[in-house]
Amino acid sequence: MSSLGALLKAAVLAGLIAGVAVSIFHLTLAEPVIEQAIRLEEQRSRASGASHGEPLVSRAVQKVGLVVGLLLYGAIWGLLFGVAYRLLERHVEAASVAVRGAFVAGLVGWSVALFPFLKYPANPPAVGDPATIADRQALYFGFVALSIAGLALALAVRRIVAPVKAQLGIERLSRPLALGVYMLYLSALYVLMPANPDPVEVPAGLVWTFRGISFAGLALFWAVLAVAFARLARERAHA
Amino acid sequence: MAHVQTPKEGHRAALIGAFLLGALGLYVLALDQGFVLSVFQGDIAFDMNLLHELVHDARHTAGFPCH
Repeated sequence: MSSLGALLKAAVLAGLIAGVAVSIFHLTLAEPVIEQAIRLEEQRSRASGASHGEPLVSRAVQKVGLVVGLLLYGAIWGLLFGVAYRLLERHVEAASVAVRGAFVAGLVGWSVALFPFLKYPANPPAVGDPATIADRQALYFGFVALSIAGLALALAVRRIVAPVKAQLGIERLSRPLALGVYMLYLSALYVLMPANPDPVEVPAGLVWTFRGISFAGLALFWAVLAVAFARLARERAHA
Repeated sequence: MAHVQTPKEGHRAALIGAFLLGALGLYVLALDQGFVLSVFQGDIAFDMNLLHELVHDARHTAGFPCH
């Protein structure tokens, strides 16, 4: 994986494979829940007398859009994972490209998807006020950016402490210290960031079912990406 | 398999380019509320919000803010 082009190609392909896997997962599991939420939303708007009229994009097309969107998700995060891999591979002490790839995929997936989910969990349709969408997007992506900054901070701590540690003759101090700083930073970030401002006025069972499926989908995505990247990288190494 | 490589100048530009492409894609997938298509459709794009409607289900399942 010495050439950047080969690396990014393998990373994007791995992302697309993960996108296919998650599309199948969500078409099977998330779509019925989304349908249920939309029916509820329609009932509510009928009851309040507000008419949505015919939607511009039909539900059938939105299901195609689910797959299009998730493939795009795969290509985008595959590409960004490739960039992260190139930046981080020097810092990961693992013998094989497969293990390094899995480690970086875990770090990226945690930082940009799983950890932000714990603060701002996914909601089904029928939750979410259109008037607050810009605020919620700023909160969410601000959180993602700060989550990535925490990773950079931990790496910086490790790099600064490592030579000091060698001078003092204390072995293996930089890693737990970096981890400690990272955990402290994440805890502060989690506590200090404002919560999602929207009320959740949908039955809790529906919301938590959707959140469970959504979280499992994200975990599946990053796991498949890691495995696919490892296989592709190994094949290229032997080619 | 030389993995410890100082990125060369061209490498760095390509890396930044790849990052920007990813960021742009993320904007279209996760954030756009009509701006992208307003370039072609004019102001009506903000009301129609076609990209949002198309990738609506993906935004919800991926945990991106939506409604």
